Parts: sequence; C-alpha cells; structure tokens
Amino acid sequence: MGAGPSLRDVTQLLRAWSAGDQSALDKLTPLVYRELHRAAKRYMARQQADHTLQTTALVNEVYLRLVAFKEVSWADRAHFFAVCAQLMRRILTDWARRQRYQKRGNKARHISLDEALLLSPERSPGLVALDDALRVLSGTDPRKSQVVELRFYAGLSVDETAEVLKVSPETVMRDWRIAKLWLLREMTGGKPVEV
Amino acid sequence: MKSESWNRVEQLLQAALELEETQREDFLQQTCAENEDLRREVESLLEFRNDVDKFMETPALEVAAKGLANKHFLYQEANERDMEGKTVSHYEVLQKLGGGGMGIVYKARDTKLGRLVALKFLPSELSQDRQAVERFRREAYAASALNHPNICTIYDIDEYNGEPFIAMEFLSGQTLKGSIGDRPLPLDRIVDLAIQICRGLEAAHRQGIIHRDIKPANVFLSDEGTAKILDFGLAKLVSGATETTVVTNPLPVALEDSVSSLGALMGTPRYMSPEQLRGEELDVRTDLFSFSVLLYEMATAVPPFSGATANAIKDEILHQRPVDAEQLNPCLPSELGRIVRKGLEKKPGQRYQNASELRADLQRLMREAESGQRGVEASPSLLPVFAKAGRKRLLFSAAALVLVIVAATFLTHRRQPVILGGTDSILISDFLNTTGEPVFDDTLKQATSVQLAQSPFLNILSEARIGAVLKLMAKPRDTKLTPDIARDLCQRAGAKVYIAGSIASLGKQYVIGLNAINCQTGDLMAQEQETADGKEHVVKALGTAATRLRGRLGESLGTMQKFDTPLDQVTTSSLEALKALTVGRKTLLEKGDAAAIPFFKHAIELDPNFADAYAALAISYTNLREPGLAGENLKRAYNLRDRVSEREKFRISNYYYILVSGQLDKAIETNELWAQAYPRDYVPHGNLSTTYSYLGQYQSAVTEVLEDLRLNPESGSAYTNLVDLFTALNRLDDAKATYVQALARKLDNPYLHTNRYGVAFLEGDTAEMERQVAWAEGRARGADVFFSFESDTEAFHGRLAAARELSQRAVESARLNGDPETAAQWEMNSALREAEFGNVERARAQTASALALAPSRDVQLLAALAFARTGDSARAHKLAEDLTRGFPLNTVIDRYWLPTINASIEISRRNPTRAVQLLHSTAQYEFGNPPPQFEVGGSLYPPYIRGQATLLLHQGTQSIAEFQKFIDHRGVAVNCPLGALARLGLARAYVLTGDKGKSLNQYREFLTLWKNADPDLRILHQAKAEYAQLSNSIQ
Repeated sequence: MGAGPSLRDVTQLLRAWSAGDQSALDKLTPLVYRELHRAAKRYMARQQADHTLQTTALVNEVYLRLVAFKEVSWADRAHFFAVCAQLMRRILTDWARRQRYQKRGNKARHISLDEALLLSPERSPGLVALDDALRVLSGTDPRKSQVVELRFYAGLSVDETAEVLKVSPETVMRDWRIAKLWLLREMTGGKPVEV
Repeated sequence: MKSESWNRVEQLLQAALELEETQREDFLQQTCAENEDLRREVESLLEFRNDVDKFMETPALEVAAKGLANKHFLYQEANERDMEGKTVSHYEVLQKLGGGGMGIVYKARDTKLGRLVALKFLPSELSQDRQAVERFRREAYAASALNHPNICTIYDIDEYNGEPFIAMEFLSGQTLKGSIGDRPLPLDRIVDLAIQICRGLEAAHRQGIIHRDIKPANVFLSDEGTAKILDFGLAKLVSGATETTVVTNPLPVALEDSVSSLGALMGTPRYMSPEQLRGEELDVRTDLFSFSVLLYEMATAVPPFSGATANAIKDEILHQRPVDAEQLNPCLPSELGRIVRKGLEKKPGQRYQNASELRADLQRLMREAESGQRGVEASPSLLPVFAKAGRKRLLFSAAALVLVIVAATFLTHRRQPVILGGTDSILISDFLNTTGEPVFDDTLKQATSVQLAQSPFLNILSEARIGAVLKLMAKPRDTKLTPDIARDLCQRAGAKVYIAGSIASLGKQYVIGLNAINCQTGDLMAQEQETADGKEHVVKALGTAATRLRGRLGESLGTMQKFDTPLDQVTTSSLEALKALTVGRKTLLEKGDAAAIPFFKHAIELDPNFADAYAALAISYTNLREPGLAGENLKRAYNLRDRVSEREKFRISNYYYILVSGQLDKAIETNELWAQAYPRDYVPHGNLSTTYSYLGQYQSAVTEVLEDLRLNPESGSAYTNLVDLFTALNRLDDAKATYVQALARKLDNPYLHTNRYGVAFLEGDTAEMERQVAWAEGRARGADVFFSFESDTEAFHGRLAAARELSQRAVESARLNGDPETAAQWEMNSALREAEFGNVERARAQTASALALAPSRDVQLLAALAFARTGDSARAHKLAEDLTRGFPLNTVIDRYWLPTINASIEISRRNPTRAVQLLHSTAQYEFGNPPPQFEVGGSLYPPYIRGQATLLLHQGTQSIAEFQKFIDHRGVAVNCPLGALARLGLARAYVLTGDKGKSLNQYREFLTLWKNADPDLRILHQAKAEYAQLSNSIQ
C-alpha cells in the first residue's frame, strides 16, 4: 500500500477545492476516503448498542489526522466536513448495498413507510432508497440535500451545519424539516405534482 | 437554482406546518384558490408530517453500527464479558462476540503469530457434561483436518481452567442467515455462493467428514464475499467414503452409538434430511440434502419445509414435496429449480451422489446464464458445451462479482470512462529503444508484461496466440512487433488495445513512455510517462507507469492495490539478469529447453534471488526429465516466492507442492485460491483436475477440466484428460465423444490415443484397439507408451510371452528416445507383472536392471513394491524407509504407495492382519490414478493386496468386497492384469463364504479371459485344478 497523504497535500487540496478547482476534489477523495473508511470501521467495530454516538468526534479524528491544523482556517474545516459528509454517505450507502448484494446503479425500488422510518440495518433498503432519493432532491433543491448530508451522514448539529453552509440555524431547521417530508414522499413512491 | 414553483410550495408548506390541524384546510383553501396542482403538491407532502420527527433522527453511522453489531461472528447477544482482557493460553481475549447453544465465542489475538482468531468455548453449564465435551473435541479433531478457503479453519484446541476451547479463523462479515432477508438473493449471487459452499463440502467429504448440520447459520459470508462453512460440531468421521462408493464402514469409536442415538435430537429439524430424522445411517448425501434446502431458501427467501412446529416440519420433510422454487420466484431459471428438486429427493439414491456433481450442474447453469441461454434443460450425457468463447460483453459474471468483492474497497466508482470491458484483450508490442543501449531491447517489453500480468482485470494475449496469428500472417515467429504489425496482429487476434512502449535517454536520465492504442482506430486511448535517474531505476519507473496505465485502462483501485507488487521486486532489479531471462524465454520458444537453460543459469548468476529464473529453470529441467535438478531449483523458487507477483506465487507454489513436496491438499488449496483471484486463468483448473484424479475424485476432476476447457478451448491435454476421466467414471460414450471432438479440433497426442485404446479394451472392441495400435506404429513419439500398454492387455489374458516381448520393445523404444527414466518405468511395469505371476527371479532381475537404468524416486518406489511382492522384505523395507525419509509430506507416497508396500511386506512375513491395518489409510485414495503412472489406468493395488490378506485370514466377505472393486471400477483399472487375477480372487473368496455357484462363475470368467493363455503358467494350472475340484464337489 502507498504511503499516507501528506498533511500539506490535504490542506492545499481543500483550499484549491474551495477556490473552485474541481480536480482537487478528485484528488482529495481517495486520500480522505481511506482514512475515513478506516476510522469508520474501527469505530463501528467498537460500538455497543447502548453507547451514545459521536459521529462528529469521528470526523474530527479523521480531520485532525489529515489536516495540518496549524495552517487551517475556519473555512477549511467547514469544507472538510462537507467533503466528509459526502464520503460518509458513499461509504454507508455502499455498505448498505452490499448487504443486499444489489448491483451498482440499480435504483432502489420504493419502500414502505415503515421501512423508510426505521432505516434499520436489517432494512438496508432504507439507506439505499435514501441515497437515491437524495440524488433526486439535489436536482430540485441542492441546499436541502446538503443539509441532509451534513446532519444525517456526518452527524453535525444544527449549529454546526449552519456554520458550514453559512446560513442561520433557523434556516437549517426549516430545510431539515421540509427535506424530510420530501424524502419520505419520494422514498415511498409518491411523485411530485407538476405545479 | 430553485424554481419559482418550488419556492412557493416551500413557503406554503412552512406556513401550513405552523398552523393547527383545523386551520390548515382553510389556509390552503385561501392560498391555493385557483391552483389545484399547487394544493395537491403541498398536501401530498403534508401527509408525512407526523412521521417527520422520527425520521433520520439517529445519524447514519449509528444506524450502521447497530447493523454491524449483528455482523459479529456467530451469535447476537452480548451479555457477560468476564473473559475480556484476560490471557487464555497464548491468546489475548479482546471482546466477546456472541454466545449460544453450542458455545461462546471471543475475538482474540494470537500473541505468538500476531493474528486475530476466534476462540470458542463450551458454555459453562455444559463443560461438566462429558458427552458435550467429547462432542466438542470431536469437532476440533474432525475440522482441523480440513484446510480449505470455504471452510472456517481450525487452528488449535486447548484448555483454560479445565474448560476446553477451540481457536479458529476470525471472520468479519455475517452468516447467511443474516443475509437472506425477506427477499431472494440475486441469481448470480445464489449460484456463486452455492458453488463456493459446494467446494467446501467437497473438501470435507474428500476427507470422509460429513457435516450433518448444514444450515444458513452455519454458513458465514466474509466481507470479501467468501462463503465459509462453520461448526462441524456434529461431524462424524466416516471411513472408506469415496465418491464412488456409498456404503460406509464406521470406525469402531467408543462413542459412536451415543452420538448417533442423539442424532435425531441434535441439529435444526428444518434442514435435516429424511434419513437423519429416521435415525438411519448417514453419508455425504445428507449434507447435499441440507445444502439443497439452503439453496431453496436463498432462491426464494422461504424454507421449503415451513411448518410451524417440529412435528409439522418432520412430516413435511418425510412425506411432502415442497412447492417448486420457480413458483415462488418467477425469475429463477427452470434449471435451478431442477437442481434444487433433485437435491431434495427423499431417497438418497435419487439425489446428487456427491457435491461435485452438484457443482458441475451449478457451473453449467452459470455458463449458460452468462451466454444468455437461461433455463436450458440438462442434457443427460453432460457433454462439454464448447461454445465459442463468448464475445458478448460480460460486465458482471458471477466470477467477476466475486473478484470485485474480494478486492473490495468501497470505492469502485471510477472517475474516467472505462476503456476495457470484461473480456477485452490487450497486446503488448515491442518497445521503441532509442537509447542505443541493447540491454533495454526486449527486457522492457518483458517487464511490462510482468507488471500488467499481475492484474486479474487485464487479459493479455499469450506468446502462443501471438505466434499462431503471426503464422496466419505468414510471418516468422520472432517478427518484431512494430506499430504497423502490432495493429494488424491486434485486429486479427481480436484484441482491443495494444500497448506501445518507448525509452529514450536525456543525458543521465531515461524517459519511459507507455501508450495504449485502440487497435481498430489507431487512436491513443491512454498515455503514461515516467523518468528514471539512471539505469538502475528504469525498471522501477516502468513499473510505476504500468500501474498507472492499469488504472487508466479501467482497472479498479481495489484490485490494483491488491495485485501490485513493485516491478523491481516482482522480477529483479538487475537489468542484465532480466535480459538474460528474457533472452532465455525467447530461446525456449525457438530452440527448446536445452538451449534455454544456459541463459536461465546466467540470470541466476547475475541475481541469486531471482525467483522467476529459478522457476523457469525448474520447468525446463522437468521437461528434460531431470527431476532432481528441477526439484532443487523449484525449492529455491518456492523459498523466494514472496518476491514474485501474486500469480507467479500461485504458479510456483503449485509446482512445488506437486513436483517437490507432493502435498496434494496444499496444491488444491493453492489452485482454488488462484482460480478465485484470477477467474479467467485456466491453468489452476487444469492443475486441480490432475490433482483430483490422483486422489480418485473423478467427478470433481471432470468439473475442473470442463472449466479448463471453457477458458482454454484449444487445450489438447484437457481433452485427453477428459477421455481418461470419463472412462474412470464408466461413461464410455462420453469418453468416445470427447475423443472425436479432440480429433475434430486437431488436438492430437499419443495419450489421447492410449486413452481411446483403453476405452476400446473395456468394450471388447478389438477392431478399434488395433486401429489405435496402428496409429502409433512408426511414430517416434508415443510408440513406447503403446507397446507397454499393449503388454498389459496381453498379460491380462495370460499371454505372458507376448507381454514380455512387448515390454522389451517399450523399454528399447524409450531408450532410443533418450529417455532412460521412462524406459525404467516400463521395465518396472514388466517386473511387477512377473512378481504377480510368481516369477520371482525374473522380477528381481528386472527390478535391479531398472534401478541401474534410472534410480529416480518413481523407479525406487515401484522397485520397493516389486521387492515386497517377491518376498524380498529387506530390500523392500530399505527402499521404503528411504522414501519415507526423503518425501515425508508427499500425499501419494504416504497414503497410497507406502501402505501398499508395507502391507505387502507384512503379507510376505505372514502377518495378514497387520497388512489389513496398514491399508486403512489408503481408503480415501485407492481408486485414484496417482503417479507414477506405469499403466493405462490406476492399478488398484491397495484393494488387491487387501483382498489377498483377507483371503489369508479366511475373511470371505471382506475379500469379496475388495476384489469386487476391480469389477465396479473397471474404468479405473482398465487393462491392469490385476483385474483378471481379481476374478480368481473372487472365486476363491466365494468358496470361503460357501457361495459355490458364484465361485464357479468366477472361475469360468477367469478361465475364459485366459483361454489363450500360455499353457505353462502356474496360475493357470492352479485355477484349472481348483475349478475342477469345485465342480466335482457339487456333482
């Protein structure tokens, strides 16, 4: 296996990305991915049913490992979390797909409301359906999709999410609620009405 | 950009949510007055307002973590943790994984080896129960003999504070039980898992072990997608179990009775076979029944016997036919439904008789599904379906699916368009070398080949194929593959891309470039470049560029990381050594082994750690029949096997296990892993088929040969072996058909004809036999083989003088071919015949002569046997000891030949009881066709000697059973003279049991076979006299 990414690399890439360089994200992804994946696995292996979850702690841990934090700015951290949220979504959705051994790219069929609500591991269609639904949502309203990513996949609080997205916490709360309504409808097979 | 309408919807939604239930209606009435659509949209979203609070409140990671908690090794609860942190023997306990009926499991670390293990303890209530403890130990004992990728490996059994525990492979993943939810698995997943489980069962059954408790909770699916069978807790050791016999003779173990009486109580009724429920004698077919239940459940998500109470289930299993799987899942091919139905037959005799038959059908189903012919009815003769290698694009064959999971990282999402698909091939053309330094000629192409060949994703055109196409182009074999020629060749060969490399110098630096070019269009598809500061870094740089190219060609990150040893480690860092090897390989193709050897040796001089060069040397020595030198070099290559690529490692390990140490179980394991890692390689399947036939596992061998042929349709040796295997299985029509197909494809060789000769012999088709003999006449290659096999036919009919003459011709012919070892082998064949016919002096003289001619291991082995058969115990013993010492791990020597030799010695020392005991260990192997192969088929020596011993002990019934094997397994013994003598043995044995009628029949059979025998043979006189006496005693 190759050597780990240099801390400088990650910081530079984060900066480049936030400055609009898309290819920086391409390079960033595998670097962060590997770390995140490892941390997530370690983390999940440790979990007992009754522990309180500290997802943010996990993401922070990865963040500290990867970024030369002396050089970091507040904006970088926000971006880092946004990247991690996306990656966590990918990791977990892939894991859920593999549980069902579904072929990649299959649209998750619509699920029942129970399944949508429970999102339990036995009902991993939930995680897969959610991923698909989010993708559709991002076509209609990208910010809401981001809110969901940051809150659900990266585990950020309302305040933290507000920081990252540069909006007020109230906006985050509203987005969160509406996004959930929309997703529930999408996942259970309801279709938007053309207005 | 959010649309206007969506904004509107949002606003309304937001406002509506703040209102009371009662006010909402009105509000919407007002605001959506003209716009019905708008209102409906808002209302459809409001529907979910009560569910919103619960939804997604637990972050995703926690959701997943809970799921993972169920993924732990065996069971689900996690209560007491008293052992955590303690040290148990040399294991450090890390975590409790689960507890349940049959034992508590901990995750631990082996402090000696550093690896993770799972420790399984008996629950403390049971550790006082002697029977439970005994059962527990038996699990360890039975399962520890098994070493197979689809079986959870047992490492150790030990005790802690008086409590026994087992240390086994730590697995990460979940059981099949957790995996089959309320939905059937996808078809290719079902078939892939089923094939894996079958392989595991084959391995256990091969050792005579029946699982007896196959069920979803006992099949584990690792994260990489490998299926592993767990929990041999109810395993029962069965002796004498082979693929072709069904009756079992249980070892006289003290607890046998109590175990079987509990049989009905142990295990889950839902997966039990009818015979288990009835408390009857069990054999491997029990596992196949349970396996079919599993298969049904994977395919339909419900069990076939779904009663609510134990009694209801029992009744269903014993008396009722389950609903056809296809009815529950209409997507299933009818063939799969048929396979399941056959597996679930109530009567064992109507099911699959062994796991490899089942696997063959599953593999055929997989092939048919791949080429788009679903649900094709099974053709009863199971002739190989040699469809033209499907040019259809195959994105996810089951094999490829396994591969992707094996190499898993989650990130298989590629960032650039895929250039190559699943069956596309690439050609590597010659490097353009403008440095003026000849050391780079050819070597860089070789090195690129090596690097790219590590990838299971890339399909590289072989030298042989290139040579064949060049021939078609009317060009010489060593034509330089310039871009024009490469492109032309590439198109004719049907490859998609060719790789053109270049090296140029820039002062002290070198610039290495690799281009991937589309054969059809000439377009540049991908390009990689590297610089090297100096000659010594060129190879490494090339490796880096090649690796990147692999990615650009579409290989996933996962397999690239898994199969990516740096190039300089995988070949050599010495450019000169690489050049020597490269030139050697070229010379090998043009001029043969002898000319190539000096180059290989030179390569080793330049780099004494060059594993590939040792391997090449070993292979050439083997071809030149210098087993000693081959073995030495193979050992060195084997010791250096961590310095080669994954595939090379498999290749070298296989050679080592087969040619040097003779550890057949390790050879099988290596090849199975090889086949899983590189699913398009045909070589491991060929290797497996040969190994299985050594062991007498003919059905498994057939399955492997068919895979070999599927991947490599031009393999003459595969056809030849297939004829042989069909013969051994008494499928003579299939054998003949295969022969015809081989000829039609012009894949001719002497052994194809000797095998056909064998079939003709079995059918009594003298015309065909003569035709085959005529084929061999006048040929330099193959004449000696025919002479020797003909001599066996003569001896079979008691025509000893003719046999002797033919053997002599065989020996002479081999000597003239410059092949003293083969000559010595034919000599030994003759010597053993003399021994069996009672001509002691001749036998010993010929043995001495053979040893003088070529004192190789195989000749020594046969000599030891010949000495034993002539009563020269001292010499036999000495040779046997040498063999034991020299080849301690060799399966065939240890389990087949040495017991045979030693048992023979005991008979001549008048200890037939001891002889029978010594032959116990041959039980699994005695129907095999192991090396040295001095006859058309296997000799079946062990049953013959056991037959003789039991005759001496007046154990008529046992003796009959032994000699009967020659009749039941005619396809294995073919024309071995022991087959005729076995008739005589049978006749004598029937006298002991008082079956005079049957005895007379057998005497008659024998005398008919020997009607033209040499009149002066002692055996003939004895037989006639005995026959006469018996006839008179009846009148």
